[in-house]
Amino acid sequence: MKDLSALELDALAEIFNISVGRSASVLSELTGESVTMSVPMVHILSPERVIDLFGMAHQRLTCISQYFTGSFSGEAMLMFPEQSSLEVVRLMLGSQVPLEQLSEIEQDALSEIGNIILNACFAAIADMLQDDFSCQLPELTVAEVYEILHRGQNGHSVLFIQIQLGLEQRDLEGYLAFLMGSESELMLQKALSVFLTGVQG
Amino acid sequence: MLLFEQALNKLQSGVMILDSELNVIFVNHWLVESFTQVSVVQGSVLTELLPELSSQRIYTCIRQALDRGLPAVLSPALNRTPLPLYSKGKTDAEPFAQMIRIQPIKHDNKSYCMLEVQDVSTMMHRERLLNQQAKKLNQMALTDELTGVANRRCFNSLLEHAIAEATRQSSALSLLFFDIDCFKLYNDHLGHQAGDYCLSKITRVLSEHIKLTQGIDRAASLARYGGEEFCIILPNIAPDDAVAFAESFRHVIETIGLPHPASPVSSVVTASFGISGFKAGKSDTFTSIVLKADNALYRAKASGRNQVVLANKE
Repeated sequence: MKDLSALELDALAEIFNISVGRSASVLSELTGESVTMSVPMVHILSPERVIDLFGMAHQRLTCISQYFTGSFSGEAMLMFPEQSSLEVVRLMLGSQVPLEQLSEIEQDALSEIGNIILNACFAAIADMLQDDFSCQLPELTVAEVYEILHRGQNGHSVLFIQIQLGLEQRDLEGYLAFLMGSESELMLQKALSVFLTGVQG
Repeated sequence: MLLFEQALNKLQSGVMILDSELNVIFVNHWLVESFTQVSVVQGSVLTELLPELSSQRIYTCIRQALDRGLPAVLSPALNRTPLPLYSKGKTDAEPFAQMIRIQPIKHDNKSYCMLEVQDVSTMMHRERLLNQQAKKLNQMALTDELTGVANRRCFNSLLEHAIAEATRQSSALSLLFFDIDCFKLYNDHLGHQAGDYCLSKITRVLSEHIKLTQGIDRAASLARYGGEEFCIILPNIAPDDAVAFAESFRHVIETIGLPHPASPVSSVVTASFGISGFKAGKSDTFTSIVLKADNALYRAKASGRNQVVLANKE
């Protein structure tokens, strides 16, 4: 993806901000816990740069991903460092499970949490593109970051978004990433500039 | 009946297809049977049969699938029983725990969605048992068998946690080490059973005393470091102030009055105390404060036992 202008990045941040805001309120309602999400930071980076910048080399991440196809295709994912993913799901479920790995029930719950956040993003992107695309069910994997980010086409950059999840006075960092083909990148950029012209005009 | 339909009716989980008006286009045998209180059949409208659904998350998910083509997962931990489904033959008041997946389907330019429903009550039950077992094992791994107080492994994590907390809050933290005076002589003289009794009696009385003493943080903890050596972590108390507390602990042990005929110090069981503290920003580490407390304890023993010694300030 060619570099986006500051204005375009801001517009994307705004779109994702609305999405994560909506998902935060859904999650609060669902869990009965207060869930907040900070204004997301949007980056477009190569997988190597992501790993470098976020100090994630050899870090294991829990990743909830959904494939999407249509005029805009690729894989969208929500990721947490493995340890934080345990905290996220246990704080949300209000449970104190002594196990060091995600249990089956927790994996399902985490898939749902990811599904809620990713769906909100899809809905916002579809609104901006004024087009629907079809999505698949979420899949949960635990793997090293390198492995996860290289599932897309080689040499492509990643639309990478940092989010802070606030849960019971804890701040947990998570990431959203979109791995796309070059056509989808172009689509997104075109849609962004149309969107921005609309806003400015 | 189409072959596919027959196959879906043999399935041991639920399948339902809805159109955009929420008409039931297809519902398989398993699901019909599980709706024991309403009769959901082909042609019925889901929200007319189950009006309560319209205020629930499952309804939002169905609409999202139909209107926007977005799939959804309803996990049993976050939505225990989205649908009123009951196990066959069980007149339980509770519906069974469910895992539901909702997927959009486009057919002839029309939007449909498919609900896939699983009974996951066995999994829920299994995990509850597993958690209980894990909790029990955890407890066993962290408790000293003889005295019931925290063991050394637990002490390590408690102290690490206390140091992290003191660093974060820039608060005070004291660490006390104490040792029963001439415990080997006690054992040699009265036997190991008496020795065991002595240790468990002292920890029991001291735990109670710590709990009831005003000014001691509720996070304070007593642990057995090994043999006859114990430690007490006192959060939010500076080492200088910990001296008075340690003095009271020493006094409590002496007052229990367990006879110690072989002791050169006293006629009853006594203990020596060493105190160190943690100051955030200084070079203190886990190892250094343990070492300092242990050194102070050594000096307390070297200068006659049954006393409290504060570690040197640097």
